[in-house]
Amino acid sequence: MNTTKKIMPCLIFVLMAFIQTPHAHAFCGFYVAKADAKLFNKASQVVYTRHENKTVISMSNDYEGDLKEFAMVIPVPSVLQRSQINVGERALFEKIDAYSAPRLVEYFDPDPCYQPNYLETQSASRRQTVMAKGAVDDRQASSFGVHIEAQYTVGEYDILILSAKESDGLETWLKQNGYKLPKGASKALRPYINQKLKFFVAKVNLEEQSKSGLSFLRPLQIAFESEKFMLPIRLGTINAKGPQDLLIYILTRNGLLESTNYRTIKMPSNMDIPVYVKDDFGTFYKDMFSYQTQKENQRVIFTEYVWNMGWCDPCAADPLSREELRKLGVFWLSDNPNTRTPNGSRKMIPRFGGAVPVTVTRLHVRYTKETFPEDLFFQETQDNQNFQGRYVLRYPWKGSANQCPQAAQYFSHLKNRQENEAKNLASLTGWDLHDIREKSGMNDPNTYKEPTWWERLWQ
Amino acid sequence: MSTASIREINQSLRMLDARVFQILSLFFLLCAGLSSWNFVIEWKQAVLCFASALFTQAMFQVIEFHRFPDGKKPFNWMSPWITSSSLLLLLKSTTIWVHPFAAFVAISSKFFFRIKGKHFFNPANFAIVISLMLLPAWISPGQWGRTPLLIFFALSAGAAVTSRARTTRVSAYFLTFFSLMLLCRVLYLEYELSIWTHQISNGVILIFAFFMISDPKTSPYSTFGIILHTLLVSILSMYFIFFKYEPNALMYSLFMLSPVVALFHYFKPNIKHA
Repeated sequence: MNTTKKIMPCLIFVLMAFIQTPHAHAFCGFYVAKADAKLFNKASQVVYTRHENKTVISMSNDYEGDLKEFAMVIPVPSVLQRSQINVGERALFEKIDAYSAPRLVEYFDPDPCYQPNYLETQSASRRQTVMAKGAVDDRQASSFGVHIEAQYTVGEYDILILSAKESDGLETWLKQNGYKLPKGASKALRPYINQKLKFFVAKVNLEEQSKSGLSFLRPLQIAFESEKFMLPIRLGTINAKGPQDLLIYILTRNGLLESTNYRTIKMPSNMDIPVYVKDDFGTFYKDMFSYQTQKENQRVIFTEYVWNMGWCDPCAADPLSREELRKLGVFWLSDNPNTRTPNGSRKMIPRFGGAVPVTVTRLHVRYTKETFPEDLFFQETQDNQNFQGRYVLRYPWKGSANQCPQAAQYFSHLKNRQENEAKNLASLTGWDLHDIREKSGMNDPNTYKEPTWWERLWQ
Repeated sequence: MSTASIREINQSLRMLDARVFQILSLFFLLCAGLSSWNFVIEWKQAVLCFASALFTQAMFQVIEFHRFPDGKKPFNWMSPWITSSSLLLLLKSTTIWVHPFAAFVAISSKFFFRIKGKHFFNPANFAIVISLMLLPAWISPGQWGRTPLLIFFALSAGAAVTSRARTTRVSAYFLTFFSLMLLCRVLYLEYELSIWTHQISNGVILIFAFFMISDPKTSPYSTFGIILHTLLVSILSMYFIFFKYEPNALMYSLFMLSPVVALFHYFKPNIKHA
């Protein structure tokens, strides 16, 4: 069959949707919404699990085009055995995304005149989308210096492990076997061939796919040992139009993960912002991400979440269970749940009962060939402080300024606070401060105004 | 103002310790890092680190004075200041005592590891290697953005030029060898050149070149010695980076080769300061 296939190397994506009914938790705010992967159209998602030199990489495949055209090419350090390749569950990506997504929490100001006034939480929902790509085939390989090291069918995928002597031969062979390579593929493949890496090439086995009855592609997982703690992204930039988003969830035993060859910084977090953002938290986060990325000349990786996998506070979604973690490659968890309680934890997941020896670091990077020329290299640091993207809404008390002397004071304080919230929002997103004030109702003539000195004089 | 007094001012400017420029350059970086580049370090850690380094230096100077009452020297505050700055710029930790402890280790190493009265480990390098191995500390080689690097490069180069010729040569030789080796690898593997420029614009390489390997107290005296030393450090670093995937390769390489320089001086004692 002369199908034209395209090689669009390993890009991955998912969008998620969730409806949460969070439990009220007074101290840490109510979880109301999250900004998950679905907001970012072209976002690929990878779960990278690593301890010592043992590595499991799970790549989400939310490819939505013609399955015949799907293909994925990844450089790997060695010829993988059949048992090193697995087809995982897509739902796990949705879970880990939901668990680690930046979140909005809300508080309600108490009645300054008397009693506290607790209100209910609300929830927000989302859903998702996706994309991915890649491609390949076999036959008469050796005349091009291409050697098929192994060939497997795993789930709905046909997988080849190739080695090549030179990239032109590999390119020619792939082309002759019906793959339409993007321009520049040969050049991009060459350094990997020179480093004697193998190529993991996957395409969809249509027969197996129809047997499975699934309407989507499941994530591919590979397990291997390598001293190199890296994620190849260069191939993904060959035919990319414009910047791409990549979400990497790194599961390790100890501390925060960071890149050793790019700047990794924490996303600005824990800031009060105007309450109207609640209606469109997604837009807020998307704009903030773009603005912050621009501010750093697009040469930065943002840390969006670092937390022990045993708990969360507040929870955007439940942490993953031991079984789910194991499916994502966490091989070091014993069967006996660790019942140790982390200091300062306020919300335990009963199923877990406390910290587990797994830390998740969620990194979000927007990259182009120009700004991220080299593959990503990582290191595990000794920083084990939790971090989350958390944005706070504080609802004003709805009483009147004349109700009691404290109320006037409260409103005077509220005005300053709202001004600060507006400024925070402007500095996070680059939005126009006047618009923000307008939308927050701060310019509304009915809102409370600080009395002038003469009004106070003869009050 | 008479010509004589202008000449005098010029003279004293030239005499001004090159380390004053180093101190200013490092101080600028530190302030910028603390205020706007999202370094993990907090000001409390910085204060404790400086205090610990200065105190340790004072303590050892007092001890030395008691042992050798004739050799009284003025309090040397510059060396511990520069060492603390380097530690704060390179070493990361979320534990408050790591930096002051590292500073103590750094300054102590000057008084413990000596051959013929001269210390042979760069104090910051020594403390960093010990901290990486034993303490909850790490280096973030990727923490430097590109824009501040240009300013830093200009400042450091300026400081180097005004300083002693030998120090400058050490930095220059090292940067040349190291970047050429990286270039060779990029060309050999047929990577894009942008990968090379990305690799060499790393802040750790520049701090290492200008403030560590070029330390006048611990680097070789002769041109031949400098070339050999910087070449060996570069080669060993390449080995650690590309065969051991060690992100802190430079620190370990200099640490391992420092005793070699000391031995060289020991057996060639007649070589004088260049």
